[in-house]
Amino acid sequence: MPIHRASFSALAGLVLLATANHAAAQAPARATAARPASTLPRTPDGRPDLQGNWSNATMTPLERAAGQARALTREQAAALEKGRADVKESGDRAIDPNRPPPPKGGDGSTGAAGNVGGYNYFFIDAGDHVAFVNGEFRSSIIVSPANGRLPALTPAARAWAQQRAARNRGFGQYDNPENRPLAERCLMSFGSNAGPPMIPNAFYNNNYTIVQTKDHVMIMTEMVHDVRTIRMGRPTPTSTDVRPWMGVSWGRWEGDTLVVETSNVHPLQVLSQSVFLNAAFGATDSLRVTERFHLTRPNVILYRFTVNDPLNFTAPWSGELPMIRMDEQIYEYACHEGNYALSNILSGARAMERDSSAVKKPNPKE
Amino acid sequence: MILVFASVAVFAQDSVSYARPEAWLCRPGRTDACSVDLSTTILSADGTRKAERWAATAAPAVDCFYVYPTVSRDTGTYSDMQAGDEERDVVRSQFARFGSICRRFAPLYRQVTVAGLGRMFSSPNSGISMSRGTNYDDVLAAWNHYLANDNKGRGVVLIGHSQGAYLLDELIRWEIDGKSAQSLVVSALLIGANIPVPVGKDLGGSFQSMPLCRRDGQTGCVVSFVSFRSTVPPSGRALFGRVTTPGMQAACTNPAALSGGSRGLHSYFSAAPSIFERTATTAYRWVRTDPQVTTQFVSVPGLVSGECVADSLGSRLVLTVHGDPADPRADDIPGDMGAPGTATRAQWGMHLVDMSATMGDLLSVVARQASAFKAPAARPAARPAGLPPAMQPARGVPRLSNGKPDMNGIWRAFGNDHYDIEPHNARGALAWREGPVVPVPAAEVVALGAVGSVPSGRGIVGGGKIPYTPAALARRNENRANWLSRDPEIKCYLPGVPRANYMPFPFQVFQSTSAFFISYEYAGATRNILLKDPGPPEVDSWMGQSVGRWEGDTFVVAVSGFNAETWFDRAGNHHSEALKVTERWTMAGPDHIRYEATMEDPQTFTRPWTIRTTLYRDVDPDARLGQFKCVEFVEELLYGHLRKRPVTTPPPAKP
Repeated sequence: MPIHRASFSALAGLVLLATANHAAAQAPARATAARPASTLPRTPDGRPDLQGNWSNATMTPLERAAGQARALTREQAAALEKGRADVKESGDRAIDPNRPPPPKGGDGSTGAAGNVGGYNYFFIDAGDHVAFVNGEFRSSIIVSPANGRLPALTPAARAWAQQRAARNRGFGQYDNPENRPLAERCLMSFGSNAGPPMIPNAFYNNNYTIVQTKDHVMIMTEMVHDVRTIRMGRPTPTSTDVRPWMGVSWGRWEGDTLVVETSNVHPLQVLSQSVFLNAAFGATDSLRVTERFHLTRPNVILYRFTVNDPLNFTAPWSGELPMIRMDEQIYEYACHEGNYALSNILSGARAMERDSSAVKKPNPKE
Repeated sequence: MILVFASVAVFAQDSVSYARPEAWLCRPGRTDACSVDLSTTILSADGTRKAERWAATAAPAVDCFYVYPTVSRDTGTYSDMQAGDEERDVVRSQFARFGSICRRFAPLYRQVTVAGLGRMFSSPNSGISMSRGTNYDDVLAAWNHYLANDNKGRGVVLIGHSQGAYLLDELIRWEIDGKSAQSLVVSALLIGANIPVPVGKDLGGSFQSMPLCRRDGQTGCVVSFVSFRSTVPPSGRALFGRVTTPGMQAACTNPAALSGGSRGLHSYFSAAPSIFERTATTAYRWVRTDPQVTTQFVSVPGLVSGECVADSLGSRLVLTVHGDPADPRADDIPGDMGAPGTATRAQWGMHLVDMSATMGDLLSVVARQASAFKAPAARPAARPAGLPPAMQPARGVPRLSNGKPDMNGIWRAFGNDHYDIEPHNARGALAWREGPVVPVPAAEVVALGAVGSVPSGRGIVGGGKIPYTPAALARRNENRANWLSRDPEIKCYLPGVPRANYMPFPFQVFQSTSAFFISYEYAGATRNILLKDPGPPEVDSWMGQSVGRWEGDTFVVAVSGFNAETWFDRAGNHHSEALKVTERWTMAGPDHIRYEATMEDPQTFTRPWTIRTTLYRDVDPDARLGQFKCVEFVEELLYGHLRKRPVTTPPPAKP
């Protein structure tokens, strides 16, 4: 993994627009035909050993593009992967040290690196393979509803979204730190890395550390060193007044599958922490997420999840994707400590306001 | 010349490696300070003389571990690690003779020197301590090295005098008493130091499971006394024979009569004063007529008797000298501190000959104990296979399937050390400004009143004071004066190590046979303690790179690769990016962890220093770690002045 010390979250708002311009160096998640359970690594108490560092980076998006089937053909998948490999290769080429500066105002493109010079490919690690699950190259992480798309919002959720949008119209997007996305404020990773559900972002650092004890499973998300503490055993209730980020999780083993149930998710937590003004659906107190971790091969976890949020969604929705073991270290992601972006964004906006008011008001000395 | 100087300077700042042979005054199987002539002339009262030869035993059944008293003539407060004549000399008079029973181990250590002792007495706030500082750090390191490399399940006698006894008292309290290593201890001779025991009892003062030795052949017990002349009892200002704790007295066990009573002592006095004894002014002349004694030692049967006495003056071994002017032998013994008739004598007593006056009796006690002692290796004991007995845990410590202590759980430190790791009084605020009479709380914190004040703390820094360089101390004081704008905790920055472990927040350990991960409630900080060393850290970070290994039942974590941004507390204590921290995590029971961390940073500190504290388990059945993602909570502080319309007028100062 490249080492990311500072915050790069200034560009977090662009993540939804970042499309096929990414490359990575993850081990391929190819064969997922399950091995005989007896050959899988196990902990001393006989459970499948999920411990280590993992990545869930993938080219497969959360929602399916219109007109695609659930399974891509081998040729379609190969073409997508070649496209990314080509981009990666071109990005890895030495740059021309004599190149001119980018044009004033940027080159007009909308990509992360396309404007006045953002990240080059050294920093991008959004997966270079299509998710391969149960013998299929997947066109989306979502498998239910069958169209691979999020279900429709409930009327109540639509009303809340309108209320939020109305309130947000009273602000400029750079007026206050609270108007900025959670990721830019270093409160959470962008995307829904920490979850639940744990969904990769299309940028970088889709990495996790798992430690398993007899009564706990701990999952650390590289961004923003967020730790999910999953207690094993019979759940004890948690007051609805306690709603931490990432919720309250309880785990159990169903055979060789770790099943994790989560409730009490923070009301501001949304599926994409990068969304401007959090206009989308925040977690309600009816949100329940069920996740299943199944070690199919020593280096592959099949991760499946179901989101039940009847106040927000008209139906439950489920997804699947592989997590691939990585042998590399995960480094400290000290986001807040180096968050020059947020103060620069806000102070830049203040400077622009001063400039524009200076234009409007003639200098009295003149 | 430059090279020599540089190597000494570096050495003075490093922690001592007891893997180096020259860090020991005595070790078995070599020629060193213990390889000395201990021949003795036995001077009977009638003037007859008899030579007594001495030889080390060929088959020592047990080991002896000796910590010498204050002898160093080095000019600094703490001695260097170069053995001088004074260290070798005291080994000869106090320790070498135990080679008739045991293998001898005597670490050199950076003790409080004679000069340092003077500074300690003249300045009550010097921070110099007989039991905490490089002296203890070194003795602990030597003991751990001995356990890990030399002990191999053998019994061991701990022998210390004066500073050495105080250090062993500390070592036993922290490392041995009630712990697995206790099973190795044949006995402890803690001579010339006040070791508290409840009045009239043998147990329950300094130690909870090592009683005083009261009968021959009793093992696992403590011999301790301070000696005074029968004719010069302790004065009201005596240094020995009394302890400050109410209900306690100084231990007294007479090595010549463990169960009590008066008995003639079997002494081995130096024929001429050793360097240690030169503080005494009494002349050494053992016979009235020439020739004088030519051996290094004399024994004077019947001349001195000893008896433990406890009265309002103190609890001490009273030495009575039975000189007879009619016989040719000397009528008195040397060994007092100070000149005749001075107050010093009644303060110190016969401190200089505590050991010599009783040496033959101590040897007899230890010889009987050694033959009665059954080494743990020879005992049938229920213990996990493959662990040396020295590394056995305290009772009731949970274990993982690989035999390692199981530290899974939620832990936190008690106390107020997160405010200031040095000993401190309660104070009214964390930030101050000038006041009309005395400083008053700063405007930013005055509204918090008592909630914003600082509770007192007894401190967790060994020796009490962090050994800053002058420049670093100035920086600390400046940090403290500018606490509001400088403390990284105020900004919800990652806390660093060791600060994370004693903040007023719990943390959770996730430990398996292949991982050791710590999740901290404060700021959601994390540490993945690597069990396989990846080499030097590739990048500096707030929490550093942690690499852990097990030394017996202690989890030792080397932390490096820090940036210079973290602090130790809310009192401005700081470090540079050269900081290296060595943590030692030891379970003291099922619900307690003894936590130590040694800081090395030559850019900031003149020597390594150590903090020690206890971590407590949250034993609630529904214990769970809360969440304190405080980034959100400091946005107004950090960014409030950048809002389009700041919510306060005037806007808060930019931090």
